[in-house]
Amino acid sequence: MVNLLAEGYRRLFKGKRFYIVLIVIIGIALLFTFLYYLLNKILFNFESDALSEADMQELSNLKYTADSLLFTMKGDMPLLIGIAAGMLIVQDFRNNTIRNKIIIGHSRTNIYLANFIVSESVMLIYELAYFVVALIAGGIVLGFEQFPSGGIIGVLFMTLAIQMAITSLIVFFCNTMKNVGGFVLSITMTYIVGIFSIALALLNKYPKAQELVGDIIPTLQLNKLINVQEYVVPDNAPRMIVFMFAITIISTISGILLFRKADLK
Amino acid sequence: MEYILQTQKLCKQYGKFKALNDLTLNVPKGSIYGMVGRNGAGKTTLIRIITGLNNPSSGEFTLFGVKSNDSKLLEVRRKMGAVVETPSLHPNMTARDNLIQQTKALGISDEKIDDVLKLVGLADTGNKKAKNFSLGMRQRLGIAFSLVGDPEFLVLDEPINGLDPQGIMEVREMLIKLNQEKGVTILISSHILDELSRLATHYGFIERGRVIKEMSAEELDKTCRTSIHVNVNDTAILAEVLNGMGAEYRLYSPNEADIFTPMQVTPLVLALNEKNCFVNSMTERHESLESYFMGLVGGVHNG
Repeated sequence: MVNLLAEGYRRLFKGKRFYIVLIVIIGIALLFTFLYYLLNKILFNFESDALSEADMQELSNLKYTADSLLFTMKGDMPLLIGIAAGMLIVQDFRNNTIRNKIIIGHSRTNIYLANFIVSESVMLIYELAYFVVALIAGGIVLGFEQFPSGGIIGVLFMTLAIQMAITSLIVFFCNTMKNVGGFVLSITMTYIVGIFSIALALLNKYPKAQELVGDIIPTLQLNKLINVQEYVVPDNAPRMIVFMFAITIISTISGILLFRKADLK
Repeated sequence: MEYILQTQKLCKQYGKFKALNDLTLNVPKGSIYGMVGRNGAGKTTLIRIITGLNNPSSGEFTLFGVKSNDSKLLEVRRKMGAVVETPSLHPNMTARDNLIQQTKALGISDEKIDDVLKLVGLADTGNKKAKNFSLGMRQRLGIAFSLVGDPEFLVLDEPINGLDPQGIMEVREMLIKLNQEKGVTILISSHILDELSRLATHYGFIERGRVIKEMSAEELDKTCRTSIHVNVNDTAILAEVLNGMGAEYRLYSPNEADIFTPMQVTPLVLALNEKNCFVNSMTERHESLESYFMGLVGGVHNG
């Protein structure tokens, strides 16, 4: 396993794609900081005496802070993780270099797990890179309102569990389909789920079921957590976290079982 | 005799198609085992199963004395190197980087990489990326991949595809050197039978997923018959005459044929002359691996 990880990380860090995506993430964090700063400037560029206290209160709710900046990229992160980690797996199949590992006696279970660990590392690195840049740049330029409150830190950790589950699904699709189709599916799955999330309205007579579906599907859970005025850890947080771990474990075990039975080119 | 690889009634089925059908094969230790068979005979499927890329539908094999259902199989696969069809390499890496990648997967140091690159003739490729390599260079790099772990058993599927004549000669010499100096057992499949006959110490003839004959090169040499190769203006007339004589022969073209039954040449030429069939040339030939194989799989007329 250690050898497979060494091979996987070297392949990851030798390629340009990992660094290009990293630069894009850092760039987006800086860009959003700048955009939020400009929007705030436009919103508050007037004589404050001209407004009533109620208007001022409403206006202050619209002010962009570094708190929301910390969550701005969450919905798009799976796309970027997929580009770096998913493509790394698919290329191993496309170039048939996966053979080189199987021929010398690495078990398919270990190969799958190594892909999983490398992909989860990519997710953590990207999340950390975005967080650090948003924290520093956002903190200096925009300032925080809530951070470092327990609520915001709790939600940040919960979104990490969601990204972990989504990354495990990326590994599952890429490793199982072994082609660009798997890669495309993995990077678009969050958007596909987003499109079909409107179907949740059909469950309006069954609020419990609606809530359950919203908690189980990673993208919907993410929307629940970050599309809010104030970041608070929901009451059913333990259940939500358990669902994300369950998705990770189930997709990984299924992926391993399918990979062990698959005939390779 | 000690065997590196033995298969017992190995089967591989894709839907209704049986790619391997009770295939039983024995690769002796220290041999260069040439697999001979037509396209689709099952050579690559066998290699895929041995290397772990495909799972057999039934049957088993023994590698280094370890059975295919034994968990120790993965351990002994470490002693194996293989090139399966197209070389598997990282296109955006140099030859050296590609091999370092393999040393990482093997968990060994990369100090022998330069020797391996020298051995396959890729020592001076510098920063050129594998994607810019010629087919022959890719093939060499594929072989280099298989050599990185100092294998005791090398499995090569069409290793000289795309190589120029000099490249073919170099690979042949390299394989003979590995076999004779390091005692590496080699299982090799190739369509270029003439080349295979210069290398192999043992043969396995595969047809429709079965091994129809296994023999050593010495046995093949003894078995191969002497034939008379004739060039005539019409082999149809030749066939008619030979049928009348009850002779065994094989036609290759409207003008070329081999006659396997020993016979007096003068009566044949006279008989042909009577029917206006003229002999342009006639030479004695020792049957080649190719013609032996053709005979085995049913190419001989009147045989």
